[in-house]
Amino acid sequence: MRNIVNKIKYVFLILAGSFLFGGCEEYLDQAPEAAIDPNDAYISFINFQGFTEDLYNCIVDVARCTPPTDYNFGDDTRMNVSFLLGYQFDQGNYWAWMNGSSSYFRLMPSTPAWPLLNPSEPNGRSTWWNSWYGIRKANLGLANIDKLVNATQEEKDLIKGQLYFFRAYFHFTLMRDWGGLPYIDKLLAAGDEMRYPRLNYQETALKADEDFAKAAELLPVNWDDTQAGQRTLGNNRQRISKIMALAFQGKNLLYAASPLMNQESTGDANYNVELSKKAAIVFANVIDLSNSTGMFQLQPWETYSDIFYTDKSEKIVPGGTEVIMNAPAYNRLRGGNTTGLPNCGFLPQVSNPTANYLKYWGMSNGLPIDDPNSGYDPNNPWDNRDPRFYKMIVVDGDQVCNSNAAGYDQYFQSYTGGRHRNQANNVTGYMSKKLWGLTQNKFDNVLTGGRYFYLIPIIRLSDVYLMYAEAVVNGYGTPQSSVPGNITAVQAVNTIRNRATVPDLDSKYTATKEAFMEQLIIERAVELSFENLRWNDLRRWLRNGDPRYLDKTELLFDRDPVTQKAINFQERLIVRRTVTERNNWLPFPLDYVSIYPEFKQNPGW
Amino acid sequence: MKDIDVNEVESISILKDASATAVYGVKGANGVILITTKRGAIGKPVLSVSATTTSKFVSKVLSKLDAYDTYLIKNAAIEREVAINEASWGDYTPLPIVQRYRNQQNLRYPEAYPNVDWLEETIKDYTFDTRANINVSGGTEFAKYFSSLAYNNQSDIFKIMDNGRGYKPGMGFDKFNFRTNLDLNLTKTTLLKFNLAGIYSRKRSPQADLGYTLLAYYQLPPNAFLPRYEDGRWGKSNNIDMRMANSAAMMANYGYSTTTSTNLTTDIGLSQKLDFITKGLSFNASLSFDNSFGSTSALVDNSSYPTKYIDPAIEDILEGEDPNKYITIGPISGSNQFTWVETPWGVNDESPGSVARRLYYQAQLNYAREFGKHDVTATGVFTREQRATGNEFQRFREDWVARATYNYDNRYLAEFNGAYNGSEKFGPAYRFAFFPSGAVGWTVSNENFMKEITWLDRLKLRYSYGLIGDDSGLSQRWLYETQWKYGGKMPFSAVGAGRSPYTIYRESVLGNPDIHWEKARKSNLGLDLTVFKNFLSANVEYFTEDRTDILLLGSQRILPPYFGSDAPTANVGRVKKNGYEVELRFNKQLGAWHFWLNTSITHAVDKIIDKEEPQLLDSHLKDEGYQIAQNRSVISFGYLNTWDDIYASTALSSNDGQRLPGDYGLLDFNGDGVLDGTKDAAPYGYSTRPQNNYNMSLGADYKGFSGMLQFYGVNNVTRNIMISNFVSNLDVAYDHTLDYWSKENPNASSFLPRWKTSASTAQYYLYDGSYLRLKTAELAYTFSGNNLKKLGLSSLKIFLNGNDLIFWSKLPDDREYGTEKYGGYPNTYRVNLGFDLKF
Repeated sequence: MRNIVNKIKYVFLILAGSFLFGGCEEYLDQAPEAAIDPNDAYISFINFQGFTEDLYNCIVDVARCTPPTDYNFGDDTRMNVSFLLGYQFDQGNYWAWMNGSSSYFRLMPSTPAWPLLNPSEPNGRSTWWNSWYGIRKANLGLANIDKLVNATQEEKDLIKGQLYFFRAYFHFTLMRDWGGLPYIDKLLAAGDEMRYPRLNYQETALKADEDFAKAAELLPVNWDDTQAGQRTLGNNRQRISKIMALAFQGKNLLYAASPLMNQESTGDANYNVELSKKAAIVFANVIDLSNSTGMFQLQPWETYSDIFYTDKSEKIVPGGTEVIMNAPAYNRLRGGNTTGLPNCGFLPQVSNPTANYLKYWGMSNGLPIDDPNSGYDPNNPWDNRDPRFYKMIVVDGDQVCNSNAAGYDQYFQSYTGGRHRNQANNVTGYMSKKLWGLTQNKFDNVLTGGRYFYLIPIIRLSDVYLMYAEAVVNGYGTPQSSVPGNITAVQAVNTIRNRATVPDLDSKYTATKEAFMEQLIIERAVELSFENLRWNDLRRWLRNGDPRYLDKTELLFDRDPVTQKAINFQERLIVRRTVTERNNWLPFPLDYVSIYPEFKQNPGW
Repeated sequence: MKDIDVNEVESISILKDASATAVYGVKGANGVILITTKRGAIGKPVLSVSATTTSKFVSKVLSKLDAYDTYLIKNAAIEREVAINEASWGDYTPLPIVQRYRNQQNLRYPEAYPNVDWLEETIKDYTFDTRANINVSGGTEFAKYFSSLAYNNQSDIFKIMDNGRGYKPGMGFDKFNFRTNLDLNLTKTTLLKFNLAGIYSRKRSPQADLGYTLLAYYQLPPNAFLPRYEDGRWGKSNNIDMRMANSAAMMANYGYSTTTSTNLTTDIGLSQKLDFITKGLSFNASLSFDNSFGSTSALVDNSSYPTKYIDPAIEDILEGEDPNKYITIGPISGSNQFTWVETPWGVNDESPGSVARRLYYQAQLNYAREFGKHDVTATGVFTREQRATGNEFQRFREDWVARATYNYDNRYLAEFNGAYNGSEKFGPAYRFAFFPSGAVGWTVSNENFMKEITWLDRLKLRYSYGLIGDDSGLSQRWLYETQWKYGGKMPFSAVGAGRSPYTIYRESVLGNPDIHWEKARKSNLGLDLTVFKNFLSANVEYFTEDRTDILLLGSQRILPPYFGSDAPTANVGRVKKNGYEVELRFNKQLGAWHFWLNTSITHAVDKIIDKEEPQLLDSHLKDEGYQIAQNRSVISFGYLNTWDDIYASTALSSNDGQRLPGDYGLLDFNGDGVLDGTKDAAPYGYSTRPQNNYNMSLGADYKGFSGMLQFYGVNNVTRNIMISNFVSNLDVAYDHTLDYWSKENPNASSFLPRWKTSASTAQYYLYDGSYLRLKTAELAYTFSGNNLKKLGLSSLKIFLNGNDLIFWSKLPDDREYGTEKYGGYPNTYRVNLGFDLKF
């Protein structure tokens, strides 16, 4: 018995001894070459700028998120295809923003959810994910800015300026569509208590305003004039600059002043006078600076299309002289919606401009078409119109491809029974060529050459002029008011009209604030058409559900077989948009509003 | 495991409880399948040759309607929805035109009105595989050997047309397996084992994405175009939707690639008896080295092929109209317009795992000794493994396990294990953890008081309980540290030099230094019974498992969105599981007949206890409290047959104006007065994994004949098969819609699909996933006796069997798990004919 016990003891001793070797930890250690030191990103300007440039990656190019992307949700375009976001929004189904198909907001991008490292792959684009990621990254950079010791003051200011701008810009991008948010101005750790309540819109906007102001102070007008910018001389146009920061500061303030936001924050459904004044002052500063430095100028009429696209060389980024900000150039060929051409174009599903919207283009004499003296002839609706009509819109009979190889698709045929007037190609009778020129099609072969490239402006000087006018008239009271020392609201609008060779506004439209606002709204509809602005404008003016903007119509007509002219015009309703009070904001995804009660869902959702 | 040749396998056993799997360390956390290959035995060499030829046929397939039926249903859908979407009327097809798809009145009609059965065009009716094997085993006192060589040829079920471009795309697969197992008795107490095995395979497949071909089989409309027109041009639609790709053209015209894969595994084992130190002590050491390599070459054909599309309107053109307006001829363009390029052989670094290596070594000390009625064993094992695929950093694993067993008089048994496992996936403080387990057993039938009961051959009760660690749920590494990525530059100008000189730094993964082992607490209670002289044996088991500290990846955790990133991985999950398993085996010899029947049933249900979900969600929306992968859906209670029904029903949260009679009436599950697709989705049916598995095999032998049948079935499972009628507004519909709802047919089995508007299909596509399969049926005859000996053969068996022959189910087709969305490779059933002879 003792023997047995001894032997058993012996055995267990051996076993226990094996545990002494316990855990040679080094065997399982991470391979040292696998790690990048987290502080590497902050030690020099070159590294920190590399860190910061990831934020440019988060700026969403609304036309290139997922082919096809739909980005006009007001009363401006229509296609009868149910997976297009505009179609769903027309039905009041704002939940559709979360779907992957055609939504640039989207919650469901391809995996991984957060922005991809590879800037040439735009499929990860999503304002929802990109903006939250960008806010965190900006805060991460600002939390570590003190580690940048090996740099000049100018370089430190550049980094800080960009980070402040992006923190405010991404909050703006989110609050514009979803409403007031918690303003995140510090880096959060996973273990932190996260129960920040949603602020109201104006509170959030004022915090963003501080950041925009800081950014404007720190940033130069032109990077080409800085020491650090020499490394990238000539390619600095898209980097964040003073004027960009000021332009957004103004836009943020104007939005906060707008009726919808003012009603949400204070209960008053009119413009907030305080904030309008502030916005006007900032815009005045933008216009001044642009003129004095020559950094931005209104695009001359002859080269108007340079604002949107270029087909001259693969080395040029569109923007012309007046685009203040557009998204960095990704895959040139991707995307395309709203302004493509049937069969010739890149994708078959394009949204068509609606007939009701095209009524905003006035006559060449400067009067709106419903004015008794305008000379508008409903039987020749396309004669003598505002010059912008001919630059932006394609009507029946227009040539759409240069090359004869297009065959029967070379000319647009949208009369009833025409080759292109069907559910697959065209449902309203019109197309837009604002973003496409004659050579942008598979037959002229410019697409594959890489020379053609279009970019939707995020903000441009014309927009600033019109926003200035809006801020002035609602902040200072009359169309003839101005920020002291600057042009009046009427003059601002006329500047834009004159650039397009349209005469000044008739005096009956500048007499009262109400009449002038109506014309200003029309001017924005025309000048900034299809640039992803109309829906935001309608919402913030509390006009999204206004009966004047609900009906989307098509224009039906025949083609006279002898004269080949369009005849027998008739306007017909395609759809009446479903808009209720909740359709002023997008809903938050259900999971995020179920974590704690202070993060509330938007009303009605 | 699927590459192992069957002829090499001696036995397969399955270890389920915590105590049995402890020796295998962490890899045994979800059970162990032990495959033991054949080894030689002392005796004359035995040579065995076998060969089988197999014909494969496609199993149950999704039934697409032909063009005629599709148009009729589409017209019905359009008539119904025109009230809310006038634009749909533009897609209505007049009946005389629809009839042309079925009555092909002249020679041009098949081209203008294609009615293509894509299943016929893309998939063969049957195809053949071949397998052959030769193996030899034998041995002497000194050395025992087993050696095997197998060849396998598989052909594919896809049809590939001749492209007339000077090469044949083709599809095929060839594989060689070889194995040699040697046992060398170096001394009376030393045994050296040496195993060398390899697999070489060569696969040829078209370069085109196989996904497109499958998409055609499931979703390409029958009226899209002809695969190939009379003049040799391939069909190509103007609609660039991915479902409209001509898969016949793609399979034939894009060249092919050939991929080889070589796998070599070596095992060297040394067993040394250490009785000279103390009786019963022995030492084992083993070393394994495995290596895989793959290479690939291709024939690249990127030039375009001639295409054509004919608009059906061509048949109704007006006088004087040019018919060419309706024919679209695709231009030939591309860089290599008339030629293709053969690329040289290179490393296949695209398939994951094709280039890999693994080193595994183990040292084991065993003690086994009997002291009268006491039988004691003890083992200590040390294992290390390092492996890598491609050019990744090596992965490491280390385990220390100790095990002791005690057996008194073959009646009372006890086991105890302690495992100390290490994983590189966790941070320094958490890498190693200790996991104990133990088991007790009582062989009741060996007790004295049971000796009277002669009908009872064996009765044993056993219980095991243990803690096992698991890190397999985490495929990413180094999640204990925040990881950064470096690379890429912003394109601020259009090309080249304009690209920013600043390289991007970004946080790619947030780290959590506290991540640690998942822990599974398992208990297993079992009973083994054999009665009536082996007429019936039974095993009954009841098991439970409580798995805590389950690692949830950041993307699965819900933090407020303003956190700005996926949360770090954390051990916050908990799942409980329980179930039972009953296995019965019957055996009866009646004269020259021998009958047998084995049957088993397994029942297992899990439940999510904790998953870090938003707490304010309604409980029916949470995953907690339900099975993993529980199906959910908005639930319907029947059709809304009239406008009165619609007005009286709960309004939809969105798109309420889109409702029509014939829609489903939906349950407002959360009772808030509004029907919302997200908030009213409730758990429905079962999870996608069956709760019950049934298996029955039965057979009989008579003299040389033997026959057997094996059935396999599952139930309590629900599968969501997305059958998309009119997907992307294409003219494709499936046979379940033939019995569609209408005013005259309000009790239809199917709803009427929508054309351009949409409506909820509720739980229609959540199919009962239960099925019963005739898994195997075999008839064989074994020759034996003197005639055979004259030929030099010791035995010859010929057999005819079939696999997966019959599939009984309510599912719409027989498809693999995980392919519910677009469809997967179709399952096949096989008939095999072969022989097996031994010399």
